[in-house]
Amino acid sequence: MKKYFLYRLKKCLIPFAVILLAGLLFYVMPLAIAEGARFKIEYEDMSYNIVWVFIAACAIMPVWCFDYRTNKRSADLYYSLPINRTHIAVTHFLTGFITIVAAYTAVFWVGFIIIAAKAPANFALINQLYMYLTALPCMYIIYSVASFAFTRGNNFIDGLIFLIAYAFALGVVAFAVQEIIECADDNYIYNEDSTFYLTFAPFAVLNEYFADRTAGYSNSVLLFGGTWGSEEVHFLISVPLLTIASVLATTGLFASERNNKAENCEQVSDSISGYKILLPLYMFCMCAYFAAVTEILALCVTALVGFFATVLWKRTFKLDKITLLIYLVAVLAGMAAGFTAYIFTIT
Amino acid sequence: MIEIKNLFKSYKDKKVLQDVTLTVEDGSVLGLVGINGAGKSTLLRLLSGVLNADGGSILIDGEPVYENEKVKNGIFFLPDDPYYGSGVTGDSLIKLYRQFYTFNDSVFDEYMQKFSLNPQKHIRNFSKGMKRQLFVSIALACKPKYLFLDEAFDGLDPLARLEFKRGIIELQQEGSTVVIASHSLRELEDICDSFALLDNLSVKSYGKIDGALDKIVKLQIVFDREVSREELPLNLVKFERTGRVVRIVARGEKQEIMDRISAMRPAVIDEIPMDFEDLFIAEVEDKGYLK
Repeated sequence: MKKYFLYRLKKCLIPFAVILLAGLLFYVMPLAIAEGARFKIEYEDMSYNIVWVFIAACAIMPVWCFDYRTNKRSADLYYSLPINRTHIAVTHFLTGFITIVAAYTAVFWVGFIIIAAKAPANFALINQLYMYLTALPCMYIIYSVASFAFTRGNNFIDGLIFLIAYAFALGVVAFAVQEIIECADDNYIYNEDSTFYLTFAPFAVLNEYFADRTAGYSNSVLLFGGTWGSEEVHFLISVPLLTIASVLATTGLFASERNNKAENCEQVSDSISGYKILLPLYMFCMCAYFAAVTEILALCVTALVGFFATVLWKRTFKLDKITLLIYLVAVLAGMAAGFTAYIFTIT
Repeated sequence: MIEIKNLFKSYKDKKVLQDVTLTVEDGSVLGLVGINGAGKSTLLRLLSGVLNADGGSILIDGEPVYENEKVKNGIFFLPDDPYYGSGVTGDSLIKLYRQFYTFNDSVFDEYMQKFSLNPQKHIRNFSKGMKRQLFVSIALACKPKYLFLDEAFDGLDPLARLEFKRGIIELQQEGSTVVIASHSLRELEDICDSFALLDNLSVKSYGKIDGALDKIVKLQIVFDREVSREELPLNLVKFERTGRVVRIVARGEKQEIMDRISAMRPAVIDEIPMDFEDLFIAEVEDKGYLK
């Protein structure tokens, strides 16, 4: 396994170069060409660039690492080699993450040198170290969930769909819950907190937090605006939840590898962690939302879209009874939850 | 030694292999034959650890294959359509195999010269036959203890086939065991000492090729009248008649068959040499394939 690990690390040189180039282009170069006088003003915007580059890297790298599972011919090769499935998965997972961390380290600290050279004297550069250190576990959350999600697909397209769906899954649940509560409780003020539950939220929030403190815009310990509010609460809830999701994703990925069936490559994705969970989840949440706000047309369109998504998943209009039942239960339960909240509003 | 016992494999609701039992002795070259869809490729993938059986066991050197790195260290599987990534050259492909096998560079270079292939070129630019030549060279250079080949001769020109067969025989002489699934029965007959015929989900017959051919006879007989199948007191696998000329394939001891035919006082009895392909055709036609 060690030999294969080193071989795989060398293979990662190309994606490393691509990520490094993207980081240098979108993060380092703007820092380098920013005018000295306006550096402080522009720094806060520029500091986001590294986040977007590495969110993309953490989401896309698993596709490159685990693509072998979505093709019959590559599955024939890798599963016939004298290395077991779990070792392959661990090797590809670790080398992928090491590649991202190596690229992030290079990009970040080259950027730091430029910041240190150009920043005004009141820049608190120690926050850059905290920014770097907190970014690593945040990137791991995105990478591990993306890896788990992509590997639930038996083919490339399903893998991509799951990757995107899992990134937004907790956010969609939080969105629906908050909408329902807002409908049912006039005292609840909704302020778009569901975004904190996206897998890349901690990375973006903490980057902004330490960027603000680097540039001296804030020295409060609190995260947002210097006052304790719902944003604080949502962030402090979402981070443990996303951490648990990451741990479950990592465990789930490796635990399921041994029994991964090569004959499922390029077939309909029937994993319990795939469409079977995601479609009902999204259907329930979206139907609950549209029912709560009594957008009946949108509700019907959502139910129809969900039906066609189910047909696309199964690749047939002749849906089996269980699939049809799951779809109907998700839609009806969502509508029931939404309409119940609406009734609270009007009574 | 490879021991397969009561092996079952299904793809969802479709049974592919059922109660397959087979032993492959060390140092033998086994030809795995069967009609399209008989389960040859599936069996090879089970032997290689690509697939996991639903029931039964596969033991290689006394140990199960699936997810067993120690056993798989001695196995090389070459599928009918081997994988290579985009932008991959022969040299870069070898780097992957070197991580797992003791790669014999001199053997590989020798075959590259024989096949006039340049391993530095992109594999995507190779013809089908050239790709097969490359992968065959890699397989032989890895010198595995167990070599499993699926449609190994497909795409190879006659000279390349000859070189490949020589390579397999050399491997066998060094103590390797080879299992080849192929429809090129004439090629198999040149190198295989034993065979297994897969039919109707299981192994219908297996053993030494010579032994099997000794137990089946192909004759052309001219009678002085038209003779029906029922009149012949033989265990017939195949019966064709054109007027008074009858062509048969019959199971049994050759001398006994000749004696029984002679008793019917035919005008002429000619024995037609049977090869492995004739044996296969006789066996599967007997089962009603393509009738």
